Amino acid sequence: MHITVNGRTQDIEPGRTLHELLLSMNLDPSVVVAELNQDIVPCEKFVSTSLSAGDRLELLSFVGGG
Amino acid sequence: MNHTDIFEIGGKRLGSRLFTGTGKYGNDALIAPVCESSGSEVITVALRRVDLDGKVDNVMRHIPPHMTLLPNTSGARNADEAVRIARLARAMGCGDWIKIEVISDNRYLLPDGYETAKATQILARDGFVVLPYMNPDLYVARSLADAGAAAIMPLGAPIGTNRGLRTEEMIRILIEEMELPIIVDAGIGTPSQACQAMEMGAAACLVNTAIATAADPVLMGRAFGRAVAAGREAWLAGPGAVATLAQASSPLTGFLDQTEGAS
Amino acid sequence: MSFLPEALRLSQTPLQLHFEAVSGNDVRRIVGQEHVDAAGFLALLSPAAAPHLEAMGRRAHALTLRNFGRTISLFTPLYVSNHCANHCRYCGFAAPNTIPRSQLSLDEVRAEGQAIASTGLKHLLLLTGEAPRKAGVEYLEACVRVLRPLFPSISLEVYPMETADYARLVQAGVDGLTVFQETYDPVLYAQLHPAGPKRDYTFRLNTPQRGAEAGMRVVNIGALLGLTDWRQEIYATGLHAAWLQKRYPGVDVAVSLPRMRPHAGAFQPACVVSDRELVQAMTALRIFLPRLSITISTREAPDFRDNILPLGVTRMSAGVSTAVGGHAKPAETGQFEISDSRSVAEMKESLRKRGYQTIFKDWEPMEGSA
Repeated sequence: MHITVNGRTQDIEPGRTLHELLLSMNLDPSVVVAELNQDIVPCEKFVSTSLSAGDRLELLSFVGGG
Repeated sequence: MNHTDIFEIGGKRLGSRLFTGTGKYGNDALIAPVCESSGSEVITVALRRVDLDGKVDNVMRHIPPHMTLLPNTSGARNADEAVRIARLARAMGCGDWIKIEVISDNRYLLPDGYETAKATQILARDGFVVLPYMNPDLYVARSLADAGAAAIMPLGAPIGTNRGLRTEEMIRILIEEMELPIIVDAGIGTPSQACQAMEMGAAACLVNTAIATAADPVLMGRAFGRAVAAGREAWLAGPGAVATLAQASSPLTGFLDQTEGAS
Repeated sequence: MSFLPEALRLSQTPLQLHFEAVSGNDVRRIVGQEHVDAAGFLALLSPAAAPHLEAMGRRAHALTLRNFGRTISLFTPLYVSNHCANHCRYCGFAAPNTIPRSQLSLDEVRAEGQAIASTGLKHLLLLTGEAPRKAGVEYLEACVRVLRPLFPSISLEVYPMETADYARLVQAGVDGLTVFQETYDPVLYAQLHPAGPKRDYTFRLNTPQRGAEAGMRVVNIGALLGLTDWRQEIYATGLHAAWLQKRYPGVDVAVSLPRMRPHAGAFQPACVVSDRELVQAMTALRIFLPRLSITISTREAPDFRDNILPLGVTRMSAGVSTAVGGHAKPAETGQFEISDSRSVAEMKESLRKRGYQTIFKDWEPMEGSA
């Protein structure tokens, strides 16, 4: 199914959890914040949040800044 | 550092009045040694979309665990965007401090005071420790204070210009008039400028560019740490203390009222 | 070149019109200025400035701190002779007054000096009346030579002398000259000095200048407050000090603010200067001339002297007797009544409690220098 991650369309398996998605993208879940369809997903809920077709996902992390 | 002078803010007791940043480093590996050499205990970060293509070298790896994180809302062009970024930053689980930075002026990077005040109100109500970055303006400062900010962060000069305290007079007015701590942010290019800000009575200084872009950031960090401490001690030891005394007790000419008529 | 034309011009200028033009805003602005000119000084002396005394006090305090730190220099006067040929209407030593007249022998001078030096004081002010034949240059020179080993700093408050006489005394070890014009108003001056050499207004007015030219390091001027309108007198004093400072930049120009007190004669002050007005005068002078030394004597009460410490004063007397001698030998009739009879030790402690360090010795001339 298709979802959008950081503005880019991505094809993923149905029922994938957010946690699994992050791992599959070589991302460390502990340093990422996620906003799913404009709602923030608390990090403890990554493992229990399943993705659906058409989901718009924003993944962010801290970077250098002043 | 002078450990008897503690900066209490946002529920924390800080032993250093130098805040540092993580931007513009040639090598992020310098961030940790700079934290150490400068003595800083608060460090800013930004929030950005994860880079899906490249390797994610997370800046958090370089930040010593004892540091208080101060994420900023850079990128936000209005209050709503700032609020959104702030909430995302908090979701990282690294505390609830937030530096509000609302800039839709790309030429000078001057902050939008009105939007900043709006964001401050929303986020302060939402339990954030809000440190708004602003153009030194007494009215805006008062709005920020009313909105629940934990401090006021006036710019010394436009971001990255390293031009020192161009807004010195206005900052002086803020220090004079505002109860909230005044943290000079942006524009400080040299330790002496940071020292000057502290001597004026600023509560702290935020220095990023000047340290990160120095030839030797670790050494420059140490210099800034010392400069901020020196300026603070000068403020505590000097005229500032006298002014406090004079206001706390009677005015210099108060005795004349008691002896009116005597000659 | 002399201050005389300026003094005469001032005496003929009614200040009332100038005062009427001063507003509270003017005063506030002037208090905030980095440099204050004569017009600004005048505004600070106006009635319109009276409600702004606290602001003036704060500014005076800041300037005093910057230029003098938290220090007060202590000194004491030693009257060595009260013989006097003048008939000053306001003075306890005036010729017509029947008081015991005496003059210290050199041994007595030495004894007095030792008594004073034992209190820790290192700055002495020698005084006489005007009696050159009895207590003239030679006598003074002899006194100075006796006292010089005991005091690194000796000033004179004696009758106006010629430059050559001052030069001779500077050679003997004198470094300061005090001479009060009493009043800068020539008409009043004539009335107050009906007889005696002091009648000569001009000669007296030019005395500080002669002292400076003779090599005096400190020149101390002032008006006796109470003789006439204090605003006029302080204005003239300030301008006189500014004139001296400009013309003799190497000289430490100082101002005293003697306020009339009861004394042996029957003369009473024409104008009573209140504490508030004295503070206005002092703070205005400090703001106008940030580096001016300002002396407040024991004419003033202890509480008042303590309260004005932050307001511009830099020199005070202590352990004072205004009678001839009075330190080793018992005091007789003084020139004026003392309000603050605290000893040197008491003054020092009082100052210390208020965060002030007492300076006993400001400097010491080197061997071979004047």
